[in-house]
Amino acid sequence: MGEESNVIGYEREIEAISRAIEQFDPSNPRHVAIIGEPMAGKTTVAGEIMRRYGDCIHSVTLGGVMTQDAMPAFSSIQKDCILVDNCEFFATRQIGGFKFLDDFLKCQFYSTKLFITAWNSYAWRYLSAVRNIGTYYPLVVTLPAMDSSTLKQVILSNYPQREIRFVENPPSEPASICTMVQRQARLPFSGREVSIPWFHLNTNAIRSRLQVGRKTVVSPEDAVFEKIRRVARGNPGVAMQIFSGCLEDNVVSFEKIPEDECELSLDITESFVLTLIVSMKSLQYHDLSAIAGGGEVLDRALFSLRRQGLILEDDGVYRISPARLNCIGNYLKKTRRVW
Amino acid sequence: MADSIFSDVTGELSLKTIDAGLILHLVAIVVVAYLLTTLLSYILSRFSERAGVYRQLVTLFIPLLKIFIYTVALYLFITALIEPSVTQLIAFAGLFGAVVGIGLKDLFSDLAGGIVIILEKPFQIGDKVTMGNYYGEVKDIRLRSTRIQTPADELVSVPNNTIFTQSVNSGNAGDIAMMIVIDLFIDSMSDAAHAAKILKEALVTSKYVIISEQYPYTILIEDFPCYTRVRAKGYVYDLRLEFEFKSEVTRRALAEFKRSDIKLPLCYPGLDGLIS
Repeated sequence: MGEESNVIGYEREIEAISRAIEQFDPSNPRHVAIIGEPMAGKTTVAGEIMRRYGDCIHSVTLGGVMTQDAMPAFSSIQKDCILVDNCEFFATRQIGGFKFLDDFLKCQFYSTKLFITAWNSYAWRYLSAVRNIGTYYPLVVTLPAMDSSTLKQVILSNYPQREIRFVENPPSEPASICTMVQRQARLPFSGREVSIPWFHLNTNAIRSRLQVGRKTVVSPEDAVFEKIRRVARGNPGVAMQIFSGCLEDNVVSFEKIPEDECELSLDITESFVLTLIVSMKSLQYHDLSAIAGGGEVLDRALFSLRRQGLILEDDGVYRISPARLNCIGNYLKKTRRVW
Repeated sequence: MADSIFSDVTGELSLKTIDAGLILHLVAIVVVAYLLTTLLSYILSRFSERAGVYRQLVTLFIPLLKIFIYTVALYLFITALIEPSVTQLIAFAGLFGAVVGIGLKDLFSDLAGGIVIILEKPFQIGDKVTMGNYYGEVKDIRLRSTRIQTPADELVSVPNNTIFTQSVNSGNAGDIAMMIVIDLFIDSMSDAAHAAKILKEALVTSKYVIISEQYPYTILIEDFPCYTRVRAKGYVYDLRLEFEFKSEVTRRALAEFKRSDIKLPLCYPGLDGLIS
């Protein structure tokens, strides 16, 4: 049995990494790759590893797209293990964008030190397909999606001093399965636009009606965390953002948790820019411009993505809106932008 | 027994009285069948656009539904006009087939081709095919002809009997992804290995590419007397983006060739070089 973990939910993964460190053999280092979605907790896991083995690990955190000046000198590090967080920044999706990744992989190939690396799962899958990076890592630790009870522990551990109340909303009228809406249609020949009545199927209402038979009585607290799990797809970072967003005066109500309405229709540039941003933790405008080609097309795509609430911009740095991560992931997979 | 069948066939057909009501009924059958096929084709086509990777699966049902609706409509049409016995219906179908088949050989050959396309599925709606002298995306499979949208955005109706007389080539065989071959030619004295590296990176970083075990990519170099051909084979994630993919990879690779001082050939390859 290993040391008690300070991280909730990833105990097994931390134990696997700890074993790799304890069994480290300089003649045959079994490098480790920690894979997780954005905000899944890779940095938290890396922090726990540092807490346990800080005296024998040198930690490097990449803060942005790699440049020649920023490339760490791994060969001059004295400690036995090197922990590198945000490794997705070693590569960019452009001609010549794999140079630093190739150098980094080459460095690991010839090194007698143990490399513990953390990767964004989207970037990992892309680089595995085009650069076969999986072969460099005998131990791949994938951070799994959490269930609602684990998410509850993770979230509530951030509010130790506060007593949070979960309120049950008054039962509302069940939503209609089918509603009549007005849609614009263009008449043939005349080209005139007219408004015609159209049926709109409410898939959420259908789903909830189908679940009526197997409905069990759950406490408001459990209902809240189950909904958060569903919207966040078990991602703890996203779940915490959603929870804090709907916490008002120490009260959380079920209805306040936003449903992840996912009706996206993006053009090719928007999808590509979104793929780039979701594959990195965050990207600066000039990096995006270098990869996707700058100018009006990029500006328009970024504006559209921001308008749809898919990305957030902070002082020229673009990142994914946490509450939309699930929707974005599903859309990009469905349209084969990510593999 | 034989007499009984013969007398059944030659027995009088009870033709219904043709009046305004019957004519309206027949017109209604034709109109309803037409509207139903149009409506279902429209709904399925719209739905297929939202089905992502399952787009081709949804469009598969369009020709099947059409043939089903038209068969039912034909049966209703005949039985509304006359009241034949089963034997008479079979005999009528045979005679009708023989008489009309001789007179309208090509039309029936097209219909037979349409049925073979629907049942055997050498291609389906949404596929990129070369049929006869035409290449493009299959937009509709009708009983008589297949509609192909060419890269020049022309809608061409190719008779279905083409599948009996010429080879038909489907570029994606029902998949939404399609392999694309991109050829670039460089001067024989330039660094072919470096050119191949550039083309490879242009391919794998393209915004249109899909790469996995199912969709691998390859880079090939082949030397010719006056030039070296660098060929990339990779999959575009949606076959509708075939030309955008080719163009984007070529544009970026050529720009990088220029930066890396990789020269284009002085003697440019002719058609033979492109085909080989």
